[in-house]
Amino acid sequence: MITGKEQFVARVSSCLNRTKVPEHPTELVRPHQMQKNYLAGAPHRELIETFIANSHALGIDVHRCPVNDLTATLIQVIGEIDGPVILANDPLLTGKTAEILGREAGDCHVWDLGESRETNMNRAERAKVGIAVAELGLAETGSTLLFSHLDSGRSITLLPENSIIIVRAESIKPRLTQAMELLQRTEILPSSVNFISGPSATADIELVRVQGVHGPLELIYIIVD
Amino acid sequence: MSIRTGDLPLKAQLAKELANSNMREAIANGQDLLNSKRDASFEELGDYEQWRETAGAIRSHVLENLDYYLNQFANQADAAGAHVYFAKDDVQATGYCLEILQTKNAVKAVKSKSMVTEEISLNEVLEEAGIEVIETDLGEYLLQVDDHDKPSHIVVPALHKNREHFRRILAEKKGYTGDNVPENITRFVRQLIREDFMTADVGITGCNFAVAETGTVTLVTNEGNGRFVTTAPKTQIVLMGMERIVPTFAELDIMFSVLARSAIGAKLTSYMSLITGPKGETDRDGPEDLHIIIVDNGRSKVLESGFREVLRCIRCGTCMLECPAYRHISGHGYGTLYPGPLGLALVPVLAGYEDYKEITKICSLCGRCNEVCPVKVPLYESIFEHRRIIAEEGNLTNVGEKFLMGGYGNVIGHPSLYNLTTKTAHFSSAAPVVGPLKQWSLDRELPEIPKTRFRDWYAAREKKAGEK
Repeated sequence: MITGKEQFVARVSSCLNRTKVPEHPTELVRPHQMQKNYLAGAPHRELIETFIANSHALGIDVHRCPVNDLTATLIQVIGEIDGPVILANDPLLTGKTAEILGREAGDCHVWDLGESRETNMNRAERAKVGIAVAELGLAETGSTLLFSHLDSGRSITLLPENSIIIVRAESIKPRLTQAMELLQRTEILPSSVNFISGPSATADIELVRVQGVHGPLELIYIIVD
Repeated sequence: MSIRTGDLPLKAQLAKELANSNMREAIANGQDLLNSKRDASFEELGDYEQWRETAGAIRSHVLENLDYYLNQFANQADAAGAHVYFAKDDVQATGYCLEILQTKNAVKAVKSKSMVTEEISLNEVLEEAGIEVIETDLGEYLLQVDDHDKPSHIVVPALHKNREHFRRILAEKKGYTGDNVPENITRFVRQLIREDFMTADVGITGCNFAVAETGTVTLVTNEGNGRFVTTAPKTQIVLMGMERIVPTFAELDIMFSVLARSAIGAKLTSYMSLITGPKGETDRDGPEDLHIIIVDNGRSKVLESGFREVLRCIRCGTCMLECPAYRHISGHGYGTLYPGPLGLALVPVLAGYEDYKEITKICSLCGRCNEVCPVKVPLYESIFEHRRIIAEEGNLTNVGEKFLMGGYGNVIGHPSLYNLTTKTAHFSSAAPVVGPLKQWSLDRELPEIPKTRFRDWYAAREKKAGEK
């Protein structure tokens, strides 16, 4: 529902010296295209190396393993944390991985659309670790792009103290520019899309950096080949 | 709060701030640290001028086509399932917001940082109606607990207070028993606010940029509070100034790339959230209802004036960090919600010369703000023009209309006209006899922006003094 648009927009038109909204905007002339230069044509190996280096600079712990070893790597990483786990319902994580993690962690739940909002959110609030899968990794900023909806709820990478994000090696791109191109190609956008570039942090007291405010205290990437 | 934040006359306000040596030290340290981080982050990015020119061109294009993009944004957001409400002023915006909360029988709202909600005094309106409003940004939360002290900077609101002060306040008001280490204070507040997040009825946010093509609103935060406010409560209300638009995700790329570097010297913030409509029917978390309130509240006056390009501003705070006057008086000295060079350029048009002519004098016209603004807002020219109008126009009550008729007022910072004007000025050695600047420059010469950066000049002077 839209309320009050006609009058409001008419006022804006009159401020721009016209009587009605034009059918098309004027041409947007972007004087430079410098955003396209970053790591343009770089070999994929370099993208991955840059992604890892920039993630480290943000205080993100990075692991890397072949896809077949993901379960073993997860068990190792989670073992160090020790506590309940919540998983996105993603083919990389469910099935055998969820089963084994359940045995190891004791308390392991997959985000379940068959359960209520409250049940899912309570599980995430109780969990020590939340695990989700990224759509993309971005080399320049050590960022991941997440579609936080349906089988991978917003709470998974927000409520638990520790956040583990799985990044497919082939999904690592140069920068934000390529992620925005993906969003432009996505026909139906998820209601919540998040770029994550580090654990939650603040510098509000005397500009001293503190890691861990309202979101996760620790962020871990696992790159799978 | 509202646009006016100080209750003292300007001179008394300035004297008070100048006497506050703790604040002055904190602000000076803050400026130096954030400025060096910003310089480093842009140096790493490279092509600094190209980024600024592109970002400025995008913002200018949006303003020129604002009616088209507002119409498109509203239609797309509606198609995604959001409710869109257009509010001409603070009364309409806060009234509608309160109506939503009352319909939901809400008793508690959590908020993430938003300048426009401060501008329209939203907290005061909701609190008066008996609704508990909790600011969830750490700095804003601490100020709220500290008897609603006012922010001194638009990005780092509590820059003027130190750790020991906040330890004492939390001990007094919230039973905190820990020490004054920022990490421990932060953990304590995390626990307190976590409960509020999980029990609040409504989440209220601002909007950094709205994408016209898809009806998406975006939030840029580091602490994760922006994500929380849009995840846990069942109702979400977004308030946005009407000029917050970008055409598509391609332009959002450029704006995100310059915003975090300018604001905090980081490549990006920890979180950038893109929200398109309420949660889907099968989604399990996120808001069931999403309301977007688009606010004018004086912006259309700026749009039709010669100061249109001031609306390019993306609220990064860079001009304040570079400003030598701000350094000594902080945001509080101005007594306005938007302080610093941006405040001087914007507030007199947004809220009128009658009440805000004196503040335009808080500026040494060093021009440094112009050189660092990531979207090339013509701050220097605007402040100078305000001073000219105030000095030359006897009756300031109808000045708004005169903006439209004056020559210079129409061209401040507008790309095509401005280029034409400077070219005209260039080819005639003295005052131009033709062209848009004619009338104005018959009387005086165009001011020139100093060639040396104030910071460099000051550093050199200090160094010289030290050597003596």
